Amino acid sequence: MTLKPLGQETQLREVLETIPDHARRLGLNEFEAFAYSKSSRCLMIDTNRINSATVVESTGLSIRVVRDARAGASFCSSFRSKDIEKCMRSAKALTASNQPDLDWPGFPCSKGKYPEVKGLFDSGLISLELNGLKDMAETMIEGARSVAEPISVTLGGVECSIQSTGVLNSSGIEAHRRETALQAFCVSLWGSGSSVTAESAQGSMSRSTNMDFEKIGRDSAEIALKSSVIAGSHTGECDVVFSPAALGDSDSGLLNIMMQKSLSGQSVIRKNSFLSELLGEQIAPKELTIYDNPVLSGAGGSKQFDDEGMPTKKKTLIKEGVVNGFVWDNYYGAKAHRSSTGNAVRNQLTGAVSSSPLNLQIRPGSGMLEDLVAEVDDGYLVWSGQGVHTSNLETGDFSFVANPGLKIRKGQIVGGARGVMISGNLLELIKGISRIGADITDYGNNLMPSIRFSNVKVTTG
Amino acid sequence: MDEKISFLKEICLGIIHSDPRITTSVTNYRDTSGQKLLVTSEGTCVVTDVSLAGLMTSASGRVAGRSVSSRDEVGTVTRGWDFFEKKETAKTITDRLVKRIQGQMNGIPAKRGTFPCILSPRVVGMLAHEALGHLAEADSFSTGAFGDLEGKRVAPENITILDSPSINDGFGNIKIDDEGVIARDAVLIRNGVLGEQMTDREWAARLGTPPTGNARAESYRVPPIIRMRNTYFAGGDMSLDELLEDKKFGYYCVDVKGGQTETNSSFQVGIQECYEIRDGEISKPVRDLAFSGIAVDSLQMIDGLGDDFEIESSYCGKLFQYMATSDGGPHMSLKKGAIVFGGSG
Repeated sequence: MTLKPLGQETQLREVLETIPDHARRLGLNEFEAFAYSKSSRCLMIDTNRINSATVVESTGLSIRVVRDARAGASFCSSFRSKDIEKCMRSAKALTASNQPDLDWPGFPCSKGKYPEVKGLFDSGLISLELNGLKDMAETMIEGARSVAEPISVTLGGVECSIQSTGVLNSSGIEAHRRETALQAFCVSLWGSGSSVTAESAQGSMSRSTNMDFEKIGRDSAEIALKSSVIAGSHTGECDVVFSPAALGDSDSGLLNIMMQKSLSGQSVIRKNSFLSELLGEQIAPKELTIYDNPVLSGAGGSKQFDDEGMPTKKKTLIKEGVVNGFVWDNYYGAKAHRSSTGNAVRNQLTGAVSSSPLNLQIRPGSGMLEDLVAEVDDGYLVWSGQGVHTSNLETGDFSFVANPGLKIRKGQIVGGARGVMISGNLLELIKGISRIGADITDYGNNLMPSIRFSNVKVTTG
Repeated sequence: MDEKISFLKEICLGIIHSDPRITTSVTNYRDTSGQKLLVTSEGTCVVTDVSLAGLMTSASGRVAGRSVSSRDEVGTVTRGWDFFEKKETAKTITDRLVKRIQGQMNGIPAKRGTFPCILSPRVVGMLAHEALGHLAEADSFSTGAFGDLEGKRVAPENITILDSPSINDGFGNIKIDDEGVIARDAVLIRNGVLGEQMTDREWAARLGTPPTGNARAESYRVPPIIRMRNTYFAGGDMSLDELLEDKKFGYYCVDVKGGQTETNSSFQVGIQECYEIRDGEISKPVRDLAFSGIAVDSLQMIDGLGDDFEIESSYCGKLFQYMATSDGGPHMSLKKGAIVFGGSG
């Protein structure tokens, strides 16, 4: 089956072009519409076999209107004219319930040109048939199973998608883009019952068909295999290497989850970022530089414009260990007397717009994960953090279980470490960065290498 | 709409005005209602009225140069706005959250290591859900840590854990699941012995057991998968004072901010309200901490269950789908060694 919606970009333009007429009929002068059309194909893996195929075609239209500085928002999943009008009427009705926002700066207008961001669309993905996805999934399973007989792929998936997105507002913004994505993940474990290891996951995303599925499966399985021998662990402070996944995974990556929130201008204005009062302060060694780079060629988080239609650009947020800046959408930027940095992100259902990094990028250092491990005399490798989502994003306090966690002795992984709990504050942790790797992995909204930290507090049972 | 907005303002302003150290309060309310239609080639045609109302509130502030925050989440799928007018009133939510964040402001750091502890019903619910529930879902059971323990003793004899589709104010209440199966109780542990698995139709057929009605889908856009409903420990017979009295030092964990489990039965729970126990008494508040353990080991170390019972609403994520669930139970006492605390002190 071929992905089909190549013609839908035209339809989005047609839909958005009707918005001013709908607004005029309802007497609305300030309005904004965000529309998308997405087509995706997904194969899921359960216990060493492909067990489901899903095809999803979805469209959405999110409308914000403002009357007398009172905002209202509504969402509909249909592009029919009567549904668009109903959606806009709902948004208008909701303005009556809101108090006037005296800080409302108006919808943004862009005087700049949109950047050229290469590598966001690959026609090779458009022509990818379900059989092609099946080959990718099976290659991943074979990669994992080739590592050792008791390895089981408990979960996995391959998804390809094509999406068109458009934004139009009453201040003159009209922007359109088209992008493709291919995502894959593989979760392996070793053994069964009381001897089962933790699940070890590996995944990646790409804008093209260029992905090594066999390696994803093999990497996942090799960690499960290494976890199968239980090594001793002890409470104390030691060197800990974090894998790219432990730092960058969208659901459980410690640095990604913490930094997305703390580098947001909205969090700074609301005073709930642990970095808000540290602008210009040295918080980490000079080796740490963090960009928000949504114009990076071919990256998962790259895009030409944000969810308000403002042009994106590369920003240095942490420069050689010093807090250098935050990212802003139009509203919170205005509150801080700053311009939008092109970092608006939208909750499509509620219409709420906030500011967030779009594509965090750690400046790579040198060496691969194995090189970072080789320099540890007595410590741990965190392949994945269990419970990172319970961290306190406002204070930077965290406490999670390294699962899988592996014991390192004299530069070698000697086995799995059960029940290793790592806790502290992110500001303390990053002060102890002792080496940043060059093994960058793309997690869709960040690009993360492996990093070694010194003097990490570890608790075991 | 105006009534709901006034309700949210009352909470936000009530929190801000309660303590000058609180700088920010945010509250989000949402309600949805409609009908769900299921039609299958076997002739099933089920129309279900659905409604959900939920409120999430957070507060943050600074004390002595240190940031603090707490949050609160409540919801109903059976009572609509009446739930907030009669049970979870603005004052109830405000008082609870202010107490919680003041505990964070005034709290002392938790010690690292393993200690005896008492868990409140809310934390016990998280344990039921994370440490046991996920491992008793049939699609995880065979590859998980309980895979070779079916029918074996995994907990003391007084421990019974259920997943029920119908409980008073259950946020995970359903009558019929999303494959058209009439939902029924699943007894996951009965008197300490590992019992039934939660199933959808496919897994029930594989196991040769009647389906439990645990197939749930977040929306029409995704397939139903095995999900919990209301998961809880059955009640015991001890008062809170009796649970406390033999503890020289330990922790009393009152409220959670989420948790996660893995197939090897490792669980992690974040705690946002906690107190020290000293000489059998509840003592000073303790700041942010988390605990972890290995469920197959921890369950064996339960040494007391309270005679009370509470159930709390929560959301559970699995395979990128989020689902309304409840979990709960009575107060619970655990021996030293059952769980590891990852504090900062």
